[in-house]
Amino acid sequence: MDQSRRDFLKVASLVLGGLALWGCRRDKNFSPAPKASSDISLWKFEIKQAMRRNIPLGDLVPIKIPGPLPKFPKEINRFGMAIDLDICNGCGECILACVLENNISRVNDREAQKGRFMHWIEMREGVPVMCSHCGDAPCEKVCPTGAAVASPDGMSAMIYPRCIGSRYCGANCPSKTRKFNYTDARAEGLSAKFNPEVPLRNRGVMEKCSLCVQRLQNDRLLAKTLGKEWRGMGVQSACAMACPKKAIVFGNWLDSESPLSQAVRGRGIYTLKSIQGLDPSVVYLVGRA
Amino acid sequence: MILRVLFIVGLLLCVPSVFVLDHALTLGPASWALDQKTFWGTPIANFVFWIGLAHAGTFFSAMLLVLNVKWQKRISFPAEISTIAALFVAAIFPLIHLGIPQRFYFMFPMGLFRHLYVNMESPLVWDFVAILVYLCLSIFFLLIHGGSLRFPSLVAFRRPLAWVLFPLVLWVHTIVSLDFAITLVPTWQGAYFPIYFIMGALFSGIALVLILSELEGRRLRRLEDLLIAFSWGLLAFWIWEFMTKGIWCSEILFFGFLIPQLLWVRPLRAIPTIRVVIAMSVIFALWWERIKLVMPSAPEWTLVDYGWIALGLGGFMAIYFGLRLVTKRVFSDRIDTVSTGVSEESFPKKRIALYWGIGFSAALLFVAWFMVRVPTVPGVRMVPVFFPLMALVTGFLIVVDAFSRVLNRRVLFGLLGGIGVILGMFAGLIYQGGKTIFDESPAIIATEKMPESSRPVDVIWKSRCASCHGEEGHLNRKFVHEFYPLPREISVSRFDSLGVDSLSKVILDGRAFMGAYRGRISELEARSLIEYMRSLAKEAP
Repeated sequence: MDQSRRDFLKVASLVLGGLALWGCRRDKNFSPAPKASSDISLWKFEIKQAMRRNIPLGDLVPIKIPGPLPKFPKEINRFGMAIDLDICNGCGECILACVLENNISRVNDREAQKGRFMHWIEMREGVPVMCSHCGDAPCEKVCPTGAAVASPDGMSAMIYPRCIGSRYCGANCPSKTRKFNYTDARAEGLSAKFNPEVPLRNRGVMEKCSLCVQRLQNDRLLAKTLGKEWRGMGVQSACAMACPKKAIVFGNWLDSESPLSQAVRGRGIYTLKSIQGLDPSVVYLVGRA
Repeated sequence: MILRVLFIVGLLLCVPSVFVLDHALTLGPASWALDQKTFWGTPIANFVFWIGLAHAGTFFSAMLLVLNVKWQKRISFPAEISTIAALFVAAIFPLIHLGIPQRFYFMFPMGLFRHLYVNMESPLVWDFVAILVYLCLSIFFLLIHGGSLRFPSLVAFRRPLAWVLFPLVLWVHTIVSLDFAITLVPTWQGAYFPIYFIMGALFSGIALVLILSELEGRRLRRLEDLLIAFSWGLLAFWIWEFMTKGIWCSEILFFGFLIPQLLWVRPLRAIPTIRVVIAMSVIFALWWERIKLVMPSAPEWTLVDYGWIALGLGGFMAIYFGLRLVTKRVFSDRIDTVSTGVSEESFPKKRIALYWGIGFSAALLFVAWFMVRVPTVPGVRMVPVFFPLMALVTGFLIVVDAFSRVLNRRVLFGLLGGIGVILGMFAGLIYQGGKTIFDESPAIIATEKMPESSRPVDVIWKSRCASCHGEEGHLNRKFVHEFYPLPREISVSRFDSLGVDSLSKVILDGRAFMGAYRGRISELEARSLIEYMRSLAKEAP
């Protein structure tokens, strides 16, 4: 009995020691962080890499023109975008502009291998897909902490300090346009602050297209200071500005003079089939109505 | 002897799981298998699995007690311990799953407490509440059971407490199933999900209790019959899933349905090893079913995913067999011989009704308080947490009543005071909380040098501050309600008590939901803003 107990303790301590050694092994994930770089060509390379993925788009289905939000019936603004697929050639300039405007970080090699990039705009079969800012957004309903909330301006907003990373919103988003920060980009030197107005996101936080809320907010504050009524005239999102063919139009759905309302007049309005019933604010234009 | 060996095996399994935990927490969710479109991975599947196993204990102790099934007392004590062990294991997984685990307390339904907003529409919040309550009540139930061995008069309180637990278990697993059924994911939809989940949970739980009772050296023929019955019940659901969604998995069918059918063969059924193997195959089938349910696209597994198996098994075995060894030493064999039906007469019916009433009103009060604090929450969404809260209060009152009869009053008040102090400490921790602003160093933000001179202070106020704090300093309620919790009202006395230095620090570096304005507002301007706010406060009625 004594002998066997001694043997048992020997084996157990050997196993424990071996496991402890295994735990102390050198892991490349813990190697010192590379120096942060803000060389834009790195981001351009990553965008090319991302565009090479072959993500299916799914069907496009016709919908009605977005109107006032049922949640905020008295609001006079509902911002959105229209992407003209008759003009768009899928060049990917919008992705770069979005990255530079919103300080989107790069991902490490492991994530890149899995094809998980942080880009808020994704090319699916040559069509730029981003968050559609649904009026009846499924992500807002399931977020436990209210990090995903509706703004009265028609945006489906993201409040980063509230996010605890339960990823429920991502699981419930039919268009799969929400991006989760798997990489600790700041620690690994993969992020850069191109735009001082947008914060860098931590690991474990969900993010997605914000409709360039900082631009809208600046314009709104200006209008407030001057005491004017604000309809968001003249504001453009970064992707809309960067599009060489002017295929992306940003504007106010509820303002009949906004470039958006002008652009969709007489056109066929489409959206992804998976979100057709959710009242999206970002739509596609194909052909005549 | 076998219990001790299994306890040591459990402890040994905990060793690799510590490494796995460390790996998972350092690398975050990227460390386990998730592909581009799967945001929920193996931790959630393991959570559903272990919470299902936990239900078995309550099923055998509480439900069968209420239903007057005589043979339940032969296994009820081990089953109750297994509930607690499985619940502790289950509670680890959702915490690991979170992107930022240290922020888990953001889900406490406190109603705009400390600038946090809890979305009562989200099933995760219901889940959080229900499981906490379930854990508390299972511990209460075990306490009463253990206590009744020392003080036989406590037996009268087992039945009322079982009546609290019985619906609570069904409620908890319904909520777990709603985590899935409420989403828009096509393979997770169906009104039958709650029953499907409860059936699956009980099936795996019965198999677990069968193994545990074999380890105690007892054989319960009824358990084997139940296993066969549930295998046919689940077959119906699996066929239903195939017919409506086209989900078909032959492994699950083989291990979960075909192998339990061996129990029809009498000679095979007489061998204990065969019975245990069959029960294990059922448990495996249901674990695999949860994995398939959460991750239909089957991404490639990493070491961490396999590590969860060690973590779950090791944690469960260490807690269960540890507790079992302790209770065996303390109570020797009296556990199994205790009779539950002795003091039916002393059953304090009126008091219990009163406790249910108090529980109901407490839950109602909570809902009212929450809805006053957060008026935007639709009232219907409070229903899922209503019953768990009511059960918590009722169960707590029953336990306090029970122990007030047997314990010295001084000891009882001491215990209650201790619990109160601990809860108060937790509340304080939550109230103080962590940082909810970005910890970016202001040096990064201050990219351009601000001129020390001044724009007119009222223009700065209107352009930077008024959107939340209101032009006259009385909060822009409509806007703030939508995005943030309400900031404090401005008053002269508050200004004087806080002082210019601390206020300007708040303006420049931010605090809680107040953004940092360093780089956009100079220090001089911050000070003039404070003067301006003071003048606004003076004008306020």
